[in-house]
Amino acid sequence: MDTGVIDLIHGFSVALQPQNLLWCFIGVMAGNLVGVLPGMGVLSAISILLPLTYGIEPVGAILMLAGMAYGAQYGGAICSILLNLPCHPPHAVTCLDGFPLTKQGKGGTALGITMMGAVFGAAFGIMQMIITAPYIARIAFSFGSAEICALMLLGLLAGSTLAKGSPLKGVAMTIFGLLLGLVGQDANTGIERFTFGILDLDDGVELVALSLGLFGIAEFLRSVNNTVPIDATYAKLGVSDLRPSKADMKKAAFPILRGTLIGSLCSLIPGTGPTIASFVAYAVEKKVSKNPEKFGHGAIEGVAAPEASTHSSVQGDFIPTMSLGIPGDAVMALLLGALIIHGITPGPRLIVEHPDMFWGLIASFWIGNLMLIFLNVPMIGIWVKLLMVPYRYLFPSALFFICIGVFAAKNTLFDVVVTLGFGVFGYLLLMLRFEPAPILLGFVLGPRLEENFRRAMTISRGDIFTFVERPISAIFITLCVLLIAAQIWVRIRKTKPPIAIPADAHE
Amino acid sequence: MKKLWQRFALGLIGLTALAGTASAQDSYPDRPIHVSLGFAAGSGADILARYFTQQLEKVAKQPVIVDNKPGATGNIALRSVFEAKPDGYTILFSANSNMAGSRFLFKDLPFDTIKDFVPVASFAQIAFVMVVSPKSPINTVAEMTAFLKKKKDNLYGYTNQTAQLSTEYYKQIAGVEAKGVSYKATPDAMRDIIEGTLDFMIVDGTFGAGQIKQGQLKALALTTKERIPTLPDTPTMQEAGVPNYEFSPWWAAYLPKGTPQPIVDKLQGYFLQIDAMPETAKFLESVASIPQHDTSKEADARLKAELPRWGTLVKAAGIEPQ
Repeated sequence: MDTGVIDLIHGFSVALQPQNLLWCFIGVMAGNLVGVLPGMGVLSAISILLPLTYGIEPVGAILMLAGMAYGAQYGGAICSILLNLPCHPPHAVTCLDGFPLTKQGKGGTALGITMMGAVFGAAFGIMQMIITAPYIARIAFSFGSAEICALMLLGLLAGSTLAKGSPLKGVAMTIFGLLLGLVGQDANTGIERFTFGILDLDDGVELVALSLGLFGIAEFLRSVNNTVPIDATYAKLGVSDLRPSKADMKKAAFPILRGTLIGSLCSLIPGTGPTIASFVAYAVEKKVSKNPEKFGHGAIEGVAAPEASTHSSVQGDFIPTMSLGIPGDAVMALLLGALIIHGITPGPRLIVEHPDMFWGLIASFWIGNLMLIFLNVPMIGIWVKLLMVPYRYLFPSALFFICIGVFAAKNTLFDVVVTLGFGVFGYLLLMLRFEPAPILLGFVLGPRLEENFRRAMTISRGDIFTFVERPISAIFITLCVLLIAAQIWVRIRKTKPPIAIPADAHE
Repeated sequence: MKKLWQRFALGLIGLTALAGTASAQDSYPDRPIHVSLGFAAGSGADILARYFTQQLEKVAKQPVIVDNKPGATGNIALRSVFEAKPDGYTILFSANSNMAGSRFLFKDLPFDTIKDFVPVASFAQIAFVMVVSPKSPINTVAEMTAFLKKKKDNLYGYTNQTAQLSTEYYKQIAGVEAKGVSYKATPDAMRDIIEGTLDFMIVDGTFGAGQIKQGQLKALALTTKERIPTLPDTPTMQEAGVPNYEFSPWWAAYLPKGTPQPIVDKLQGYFLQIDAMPETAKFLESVASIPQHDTSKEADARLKAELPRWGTLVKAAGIEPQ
């Protein structure tokens, strides 16, 4: 813990460097913006900005991209509470009580409570990172290829089976992602796989092209036909409306605490992103409440708990992503890809090898959340105005930026075509209710799984039992087996999850 | 009479054409120059290329734009220059792994790296370093050779084909056996070197030099012909008793075949001028490299001399051409 504090001070010295402050600000600002804008996802926004970061220092790049991930949470809440629009999936559940509050003229209070929950949740998530990091760093050296391979397997299994919707579809999508990850020249032998003789595919499918196609273009295709006129009758409020009354604060205190704990627990389980965290928090709050009948009609607890949960889970999600290399959801998978592109290998050694990056990022979380408060409290009116940008301006410009972003990644038109192809494919998946997020998970983790598997096999001279003979890897393999067994058991018992998470709510 | 007129007309056309080319060559460069690079922005190769393009901008007095075209082990960048107009405004920056190695690694490339490109000048050689764990009792290459001969199931790590082949070359001369383990990047291999999972590894000096200075890795020998100022105490392979050993990546500028000779000469002058600058040596030291000062002809000769070695090593490493 002591070393954690010293490292954190170092982190602040990194994050407070002018250029890093600037990147952090751009990140949270852009994140807040895409969180507010209907139909613009965090994933597509990060994908668009990713190629632009190739030229800057890795630390600044990651601070910015991470800022977008948590900045979007603030914008998403505004959208849900004031307009009843679940622009951003983790906040879909906030609509249930947030919008009724707005109708009662208490929209400002709901937002104020949300921000308190957000700050508390985020601060807790950050603390959790600081406390766990040194422990992970200590065991870092015991992670060889066999251990990382077993860990990747666990991450893939957890990500595909715990995802929303049918586990079978999740596994299918993960496998599709794994196959996509195979495209290109094999690093060990130079053999070309699934390239169909196209030279441009030798280096594999471009991460940005895949994620922008599956999430950006596909989402665009889906929303373009069912645009709803935005009802902004209740969305007029000023800065002073944001201050919650003492009674409201008292009512919200425990839900915020419970939500935060649920969020941070969820973040530690690979494969459970903020969307699951917020739905679980809402369900728990409804269960423990003395008057559950108030939920759905403007209960302040129903806003406080899920919001706190989302925020702590988003911050906490960085733990498995950075220190184990297992992303909790598609956004984290993309950030993982960004780290790899910037030449940083996520995993237990990251904290030791790139202390600037790790501690700078944690410090920037604090700075970034502070910036977000300042961005949101005085400027709430501006964000509300932005909500009214009509789709007919928003979508073409988004599409334009998507194309520029993809082109900029490698200066080739080929990737733009690939993006459009994945866009159409992603649209089909959405129509057939297949969750596209596991594709990204498989795509990012697959190559690392394969790489470490082959390396472990070479080092063990072809002995497959190396994975169960080494204690850490044996633990992961056991967890994998338990996970599969649990899934089968649940299927046989036909138990259903306590709350239904909408299949179309992907983060 | 008619014939004379025709001749005159032809002569006139010829003259204007000549004058045209002559003036085009004289005024070269009069617009921005593009440099194609087969590596992503921010990569080690990109850092090297950016230094030289910045200097080229100053001496050529024209903007120089780096086109990063990563992909297909650099072949996408090669293809783009191969297809470009041979007018001196599209230059390729490429390493010997592509220019000498590609023909043995790939079966159906649309271009021939020797026949379709003209070297302009070679400006830098990057040192690779043979390293072991700091905990290892081995201190010299001779001790390593003896150790590998005695032990069975030796393992070495590598991150790219040049490093793999440089290890194969050592194995061949020293007469030792070891199996290669592939890593994406040198940092990924750090744990396995330090823990002794790998018996040795030849790493790129740009990353390795820092680790060696911090005591994370122990250096045994350099793959270059001469010592480098970055690691002045590390002997070369030849000094360490591996006869004739020289195997390092070197970078050169290339133009597509058919570029007028005066343009090649002019660019060669620019690069040799940059390579002689004291700040170039200083920059190269920071990335564990040394200036190479090769003219067009020298670079061509160096490339052709290396060809048979790449051929035998690719075979020795058991790499099947694709």
